[in-house]
Amino acid sequence: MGRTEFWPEPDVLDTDVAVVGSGGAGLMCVLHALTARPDLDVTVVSKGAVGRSGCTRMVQGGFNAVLDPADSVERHFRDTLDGGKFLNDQALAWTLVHDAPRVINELETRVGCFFDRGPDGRIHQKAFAGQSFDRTVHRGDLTGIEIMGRLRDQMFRLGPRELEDVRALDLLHDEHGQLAGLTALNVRTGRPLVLRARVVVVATGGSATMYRVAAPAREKTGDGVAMCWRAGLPLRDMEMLQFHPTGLLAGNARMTGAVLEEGLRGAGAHLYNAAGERYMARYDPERMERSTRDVVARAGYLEIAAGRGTEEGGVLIDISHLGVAEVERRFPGMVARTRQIGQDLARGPVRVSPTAHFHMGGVLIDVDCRTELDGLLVAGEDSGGTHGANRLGGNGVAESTVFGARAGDTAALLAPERELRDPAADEVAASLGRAYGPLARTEGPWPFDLTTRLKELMWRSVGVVRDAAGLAEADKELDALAEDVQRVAVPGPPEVNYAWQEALDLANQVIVARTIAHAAAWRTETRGAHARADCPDTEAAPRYLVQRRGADGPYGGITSEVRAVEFSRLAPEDQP
Amino acid sequence: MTLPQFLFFCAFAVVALVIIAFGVVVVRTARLDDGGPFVSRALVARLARPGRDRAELQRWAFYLHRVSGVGLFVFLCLHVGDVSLYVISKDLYDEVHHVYGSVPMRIAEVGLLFGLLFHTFNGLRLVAVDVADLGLAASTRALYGVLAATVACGLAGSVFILGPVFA
Amino acid sequence: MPGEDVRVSVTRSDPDAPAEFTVPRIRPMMVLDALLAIQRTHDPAIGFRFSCRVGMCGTCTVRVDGRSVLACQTEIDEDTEHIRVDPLAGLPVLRDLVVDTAPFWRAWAAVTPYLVPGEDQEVGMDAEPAVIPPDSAERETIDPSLDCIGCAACFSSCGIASARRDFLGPAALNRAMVLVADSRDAAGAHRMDVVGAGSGVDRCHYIYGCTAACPKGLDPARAIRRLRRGRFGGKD
Repeated sequence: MGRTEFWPEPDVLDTDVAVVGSGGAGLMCVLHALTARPDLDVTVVSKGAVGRSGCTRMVQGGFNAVLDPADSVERHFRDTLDGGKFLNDQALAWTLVHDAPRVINELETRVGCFFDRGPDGRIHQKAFAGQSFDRTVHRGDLTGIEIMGRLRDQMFRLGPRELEDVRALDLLHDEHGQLAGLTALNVRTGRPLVLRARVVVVATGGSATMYRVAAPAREKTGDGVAMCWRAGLPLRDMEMLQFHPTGLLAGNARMTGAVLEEGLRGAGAHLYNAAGERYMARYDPERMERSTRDVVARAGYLEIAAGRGTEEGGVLIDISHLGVAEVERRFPGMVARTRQIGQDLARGPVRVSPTAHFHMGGVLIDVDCRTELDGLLVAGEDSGGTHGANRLGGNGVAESTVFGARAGDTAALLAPERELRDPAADEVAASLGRAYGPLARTEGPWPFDLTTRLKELMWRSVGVVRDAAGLAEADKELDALAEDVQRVAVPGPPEVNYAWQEALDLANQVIVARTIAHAAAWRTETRGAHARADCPDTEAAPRYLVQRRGADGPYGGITSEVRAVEFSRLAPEDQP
Repeated sequence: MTLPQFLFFCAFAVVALVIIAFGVVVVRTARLDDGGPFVSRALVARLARPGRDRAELQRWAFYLHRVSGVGLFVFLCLHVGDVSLYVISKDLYDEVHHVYGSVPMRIAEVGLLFGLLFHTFNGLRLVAVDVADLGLAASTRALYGVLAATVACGLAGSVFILGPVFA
Repeated sequence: MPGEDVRVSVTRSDPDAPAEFTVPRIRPMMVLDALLAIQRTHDPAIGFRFSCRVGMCGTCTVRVDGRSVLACQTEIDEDTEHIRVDPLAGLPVLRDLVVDTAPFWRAWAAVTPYLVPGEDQEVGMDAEPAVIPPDSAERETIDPSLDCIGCAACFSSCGIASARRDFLGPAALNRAMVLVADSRDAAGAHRMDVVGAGSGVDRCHYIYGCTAACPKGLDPARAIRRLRRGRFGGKD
């Protein structure tokens, strides 16, 4: 009997460790896995260019790490929990602050990064909002390029197999429910691929691109979280999506949403509304602009909502009082970015708006990045719990690299223990059926229109400030979107077809969006990044929601359980 | 025109054709392969802007350098040939070399002179880039100098070469 | 009303695919916005690559009116009514504006682009970072040459590399210079051999396409001059 499927016969590839994602977490994982066990066969699966997609690359500000003897890991831990409103998984947060200085050492000595130095020749650390000590390591205001550039260079030394332009589709189990590998799609050729792997590391990054004004790179469409969701893994803190307070406004240009870095506020930038008031005085008179991101973003949003915003729907950030030369020297990247769109940070105020930036929520992991599925590791923004309800600026790239490194170490330990397994045929067929569906259909909605619909909906109803009515509407509308997403049709050949890729991105985004809306409706309080207009108070004891897909498919019901946060190291009332 | 003169003339025509053909190849590959601009209004507009945009002139200097280099080389091959006629017969040499005094040849010689001057000065400029560590702006300025020197010396030489034509 | 539309000519790999588009002007408008508008309203199958859209990933490099630029950072200004977009030169085209950057990275890999610590240097998570003052000669040389995003604009605008001659290209040589100047690195002699060989610095004709094209304002030609002098002894 001939094949009846409408996709080509998949190529099969065996590897010891399959790393999905090639940002900071993914490449750190490769570095550590191959440093620990050079004989391992490691494969990087990246839907964009290896090392040049995702957001670690886009990090401007820097990397929080305790290097100064006057600072302490305990203080960094306390800042992280204060910022996260004590929703953090304390074991993960402790791992983050504890490993961050060690990762800086490694980046400098092994990877070859060179961060800015103080006059004494030691690493310079700058001020960042929400922190009690100047501990942010940086390379100018383009820190991510240095980290990712050098990690990319390490790949030439280590020589993992790089599957560039290959999109991971689904995690696969064998007949007994053990992790067997993953399906993938070669974007260049349009051909499917089954990757059998002893260990799979998911490090694809978050999903904030599902908002109208959003900061991340285009690849960040929640692929990893959606993959894990489809595979039945539990998620936590999904309602915790951080808005960065200062995203550029550039009309309908794609540049809109791009972040103006945190360091500006750290360096003393002022925020004004259209009436010229320094409105932060109303929201956090003590810390003013140097308050945490959640507070500043919400303040900006409320000013705009109250009609005190500019015509373009924004507020103004102004750092020109430092002087043109000083601003140009300290923030060359930001100045260039604003001049690109006809404004000038060095000479006057620039229009900004809160912009969807980072997803604190994600897959439940332990300190070694293990999940409840043996052999599956999750690192970076795909995981949840490290940052709690709000991430501190500078803790993001720290998380990617710290947990990427840990995932690499764990993978090197696990890989020799685990067998290569044969994936269940029906899972492969279901996965490829979903992926090739849009191409096979001749009639159906247009993916770009649906993406626009999703972005508008999320911005309006699941945005900076939420309420029960909006969330209920979002829930209904997302169900309708989920229906439409499963009917999407795209024209064109399978090779290098970005409309098709958009359809696949969208499917993942909708899955993540549904979990965000669901968790946001559950959390009837305001905590960190999650603000409810109808529930402005914060409960005394932080709790979090663990969500899992129901038996009726990834777009079906959501089962959930509520857990209390365990203060294993520090309680809010403890003295620092 | 005698037979040897005719043959020399033909050989020179081949030289000219090689130069033109190579020029066409250079410009065509520039259009297809290079990051270089298309010969268009955009290029003219770009060269009108100072700074990085005007540095684009150096790409065209590179093309001109190659074409003039090939031209000089092919001409020298011919020239070595016609000078070696002296070994065979003094009269034959004189006969062929009369052609150099003809009007079309004098005009071609002016072209050769400009090619020679540009190639020389531009070559010296490239040496200077290394020796004096000239950056983008400085080497662009040096190129202006090269062009000016080429035109000045070329015009002076042309007067000398073309003088007898008008005399 | 004039100026409300922008005409865009795109080089397509399929000669039968549409290549002329008219898209509405937005303000501000980058070339990337024009390409996205084409994708969304005219031809979803048009192939181009981008990621970060703020000039940090270096994946959206194309030639606009012959010039190698980042599509996301190149504004279509008010008096421009027509632009022509081509794929990068010197790299095989995968589809439409998407090129295979493998030759660029092969050249990059050839110069041993990663730090090779000296044998006596400790590396790893417990090793102390080197103490190097920011005003030291080495940093003054290196710092302006970092921040390469690997966009290949220099490669494409180099008259030698883009003509597919055997040349490492400006970006790889710039990287080599950075590492040769880095006191933490021990593979400088080897790298000087590589850049001094046939496909190395001597292929450069000082066209200055690289320095003029670099979207990050780096000066690869300066790095090449430096390496050329470095061969004759001394670090200068």
